[in-house]
Amino acid sequence: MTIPIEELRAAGLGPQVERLSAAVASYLDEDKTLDRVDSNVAVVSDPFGGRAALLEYAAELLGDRARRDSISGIADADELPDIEGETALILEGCHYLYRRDIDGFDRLEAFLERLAMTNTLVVTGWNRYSWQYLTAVERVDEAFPLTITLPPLDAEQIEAVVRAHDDDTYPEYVDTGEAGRIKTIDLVSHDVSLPGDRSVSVPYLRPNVSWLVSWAIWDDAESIEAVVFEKLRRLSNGTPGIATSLWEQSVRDGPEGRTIAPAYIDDPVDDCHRISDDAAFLLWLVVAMEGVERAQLADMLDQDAIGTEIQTLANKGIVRVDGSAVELQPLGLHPAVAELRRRGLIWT
Amino acid sequence: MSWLLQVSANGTVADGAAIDPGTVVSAVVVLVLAYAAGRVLSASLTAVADRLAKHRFRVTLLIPLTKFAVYGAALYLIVTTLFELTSAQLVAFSGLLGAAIGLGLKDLLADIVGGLILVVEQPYQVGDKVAIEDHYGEITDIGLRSTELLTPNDTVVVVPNFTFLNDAVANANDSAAEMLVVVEFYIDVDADADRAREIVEDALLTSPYVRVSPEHRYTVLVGDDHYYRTLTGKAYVTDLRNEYPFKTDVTERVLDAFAQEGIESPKVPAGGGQALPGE
Repeated sequence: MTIPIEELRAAGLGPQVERLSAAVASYLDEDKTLDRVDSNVAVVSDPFGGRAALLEYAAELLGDRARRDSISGIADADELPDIEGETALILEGCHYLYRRDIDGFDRLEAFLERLAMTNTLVVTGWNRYSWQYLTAVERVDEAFPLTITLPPLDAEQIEAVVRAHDDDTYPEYVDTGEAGRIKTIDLVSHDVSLPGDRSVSVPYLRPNVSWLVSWAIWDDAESIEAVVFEKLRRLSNGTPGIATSLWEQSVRDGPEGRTIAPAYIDDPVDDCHRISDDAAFLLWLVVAMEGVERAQLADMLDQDAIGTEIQTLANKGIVRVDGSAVELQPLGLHPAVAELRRRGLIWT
Repeated sequence: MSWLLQVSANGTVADGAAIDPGTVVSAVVVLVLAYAAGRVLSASLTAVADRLAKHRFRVTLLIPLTKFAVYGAALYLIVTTLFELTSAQLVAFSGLLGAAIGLGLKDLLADIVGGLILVVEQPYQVGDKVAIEDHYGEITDIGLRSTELLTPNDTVVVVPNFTFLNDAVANANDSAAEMLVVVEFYIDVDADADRAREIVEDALLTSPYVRVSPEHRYTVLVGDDHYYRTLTGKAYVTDLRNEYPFKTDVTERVLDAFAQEGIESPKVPAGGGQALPGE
């Protein structure tokens, strides 16, 4: 699902949009064409995080001078996108340039080598978790002087995206007197820097003030909206693609036509606790690559049979099987990330 | 022992403490309750720690502290409330204790002192992987008298806390979830060592159990000998409990890749030659 750039800009992602605009404008300035310093751009986001919108915007800015390409799956090392001879290349799906296996980085290394030897402006799209992994093991960030990371949105930004995204009749807010499941206190952590480039993560309890306030003014119509979008933000963790997906699902499945209420918004996904190590690694692969062929998953897990692991995750609503591919469900992302982080499979 | 001799016929001590069967039973009950409370708290904290996975060491460090606090409170309750010992009686009790130590309880006392030092200095915590004397394994319990560790062969080894005072203790992870693991391979001197090194490096970096960051670096060392070359891969695992799955995963995939690439094991010359380490 691609979110138009106007929606992202309206939602508060203006700084990211402006950085991309500046990079493209700088490259198109003839005096700087041969200056390769800013010629490679990495757009990094969570799955469903609005990355495609930024790449779409770059294509609009570059017009005919850019060729668009998309890598849609893991391929052999010798199948590389052409860079030479292009003025600009916009390349989505760069997280498919590697396999987590022996010799699995060959294709990525060849791509980075080509990237280093060209003046072509290359705007690339990456999955955040693959980017973090590849930065640690292959220092992929060094090949991209400009990295644009899309942050999570707050409740107001989510509202702007949803309002701009929903072309249909805007639904009516309904006060059902129930809020559904939501936390009033969060356990969050704050990184404190220590001498010697070290940091320590200090956990603390943070009350959800907007949520508590919205309860206090529950009778007011606006407060229902506030609760709706706060709940959307919490369940989506501020990821726009997940929030819009959740909005559509809640409005569609509401009991009274096109209506929306906090209680209608529910997260049907189970938590991911008590999955095997193999299922956890399979989950990491699906989260980091956003969709992988079963055979390739089996290769990377070094196993012949992975049906049980896939079934476990599918039953929890985390992944879905589309033909021979295993794909991530939008609402499965954050429970999956929470579990992978708990297990230490996500390294930040 | 003078205060004990002052117990009168009706079971009272002339100056303060009342030693009767009820008091003794109460003291025993307090000790039993303290032991049970220590076990329950220890089990609860262990359960909480396991749920936190890689952050479990923030909780496990509380386990010995909690147990010592419970046992200390129980002892304080018995001495001050149940027996109501006066200063003179405490001095006399100390004399009795000294005699008992002289008669054979000195090892027990040394173990308890060792336990107290363990709690204060914390050279290891519950969950750490340590080598004490000839034993290597994960610490599963730190008690008043002894420390228990679980070996890779699922054997529980009970090490007296006194050992810590005299012998070196090697802690592999120092209360962090991540731990450096070393995997070694031997190849023939004629084999392509560069290619072998690449394979080992890729196997380390793509393992499901690996952790790489500026603080958790990896390396592959190549060593040379007359009859073989060694490839030593070093990388951190996300959790020390993955030490052996990591070694197995890396070894399996490296050996498969070596077989596919024709990288052979060392050939020891006929009639002898230097034995490989471990042979």
